[in-house]
Amino acid sequence: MLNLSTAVFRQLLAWPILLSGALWLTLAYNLSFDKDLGAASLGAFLSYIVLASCALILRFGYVLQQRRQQGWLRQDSLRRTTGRAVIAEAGAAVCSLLLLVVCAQLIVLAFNPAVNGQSESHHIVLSRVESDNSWAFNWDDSIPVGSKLCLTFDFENAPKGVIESSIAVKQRSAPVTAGKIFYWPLSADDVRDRTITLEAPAEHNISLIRPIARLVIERPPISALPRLLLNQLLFFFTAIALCLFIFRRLKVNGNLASMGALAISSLPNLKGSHLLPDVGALVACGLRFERTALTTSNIALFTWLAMGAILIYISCKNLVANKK
Amino acid sequence: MTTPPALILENVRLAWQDADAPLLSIKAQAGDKLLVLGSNGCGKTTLVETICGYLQAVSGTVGRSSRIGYVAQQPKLPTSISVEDYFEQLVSLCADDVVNDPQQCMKLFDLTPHAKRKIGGLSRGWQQRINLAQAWLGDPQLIILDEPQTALDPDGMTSLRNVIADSNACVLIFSPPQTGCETLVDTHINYSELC
Repeated sequence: MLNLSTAVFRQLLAWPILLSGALWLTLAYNLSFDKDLGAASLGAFLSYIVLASCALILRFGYVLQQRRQQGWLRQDSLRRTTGRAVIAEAGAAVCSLLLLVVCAQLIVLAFNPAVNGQSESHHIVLSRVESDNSWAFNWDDSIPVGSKLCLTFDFENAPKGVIESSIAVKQRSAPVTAGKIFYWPLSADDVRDRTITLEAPAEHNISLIRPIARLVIERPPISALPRLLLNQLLFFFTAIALCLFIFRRLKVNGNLASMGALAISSLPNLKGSHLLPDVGALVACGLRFERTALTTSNIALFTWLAMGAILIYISCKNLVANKK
Repeated sequence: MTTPPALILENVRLAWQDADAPLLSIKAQAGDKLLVLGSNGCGKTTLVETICGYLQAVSGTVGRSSRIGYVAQQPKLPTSISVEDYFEQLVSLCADDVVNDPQQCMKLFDLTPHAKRKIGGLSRGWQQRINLAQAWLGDPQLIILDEPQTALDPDGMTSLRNVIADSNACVLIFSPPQTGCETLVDTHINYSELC
């Protein structure tokens, strides 16, 4: 088994591919953290690593197709040890991704780059007026529990002498003072619902100064990079399994199988898509990274991994003969 | 106790055959060596691929030993690895409870001197020897050879003849007439006789 896995791994990461990977990592590091070129952001760095992982999945599909042309699939089916070959192929692909994320971590550890010093990021959320004294806010991504909604209320039309009021969400309430910024920490329920409705006492007649609010979200520190990279690896595990399933069971060309696997894996990132577990945050990168990183629920993650394991198991089953 | 036949085909209709075409039947025991002769396009390769399980028979029964060696008409080989690596990887694909000796298999067709060479760097004839040798890996009980004489020189044909003669497995050779395969085994039948 190890012999098989090593052979696929060597085929997957031939010298030109290794060299390209090293160059890409250097470029990614410079474009992300260089003080003149980059955004000094982990999100930018992670987006380059996601691109490299996608390229590796495409390469995996190419190698699968190559192996089909080299007769390995027929040998495998003839010798009736299908499971061994599939596990070796999946293992080689996971190991190559592991190598990529380990190298990405090592390069950051070695050079210890400076990242954006602000510990919080700010994102605009538009309000929707529900009634004269209630306002709803929606956001699309899953965000961390404890993020704060930040807004300012206008007491101009309030009854004379009223400079304090209260804002309520369901059973909870918090005081609000004229001229002061109001912060509402989001609970697990608010985060799960991706919406919140703030309600003020009708008799106080207060309103929002602007129909917008800021979401204040804590940025993951650079020390969270290993976990963020591991999340990427876990996300792409199921993409690898999907690629193997499409290639082996649906008998599709390997290159198309890898493209299909990437396309299907990207579905959790689509807004309003409930076809697959909500694991888009595992590969959050760029600007979205600051909102959604490390917000994937354990249930969604384990469902996603279980899907990958099931797909590999089904791929291991002996192939049904073709109809000519 | 009688040993089960290495291959049994009963009233098999191949994928390409019409509904009124005659059905194929054949039974072969371990140790049988048989050459099936048929002209181009008569369905030899389709039959071979059905026996190997790559194609589905439309109807009928196909039973065969679980340990099978197959020499394809067009060899599909990984060209970028060495002969030795290829056999090592094939051993990894074989079940653990059978005898797997890659060195012995390479010796059968004099491949040992070329063990370290990349398959892609070898001539078509040597590639055919690799294609033949891999069929004997994993102690097969049934060996199917589809036009095995392709690209073989007289030395190669002699090796093949000797290996077939020494084998305890059931060996079935499929070839068009007058290709030299007639010298490999003593029992010849026409494809039409299977119907």
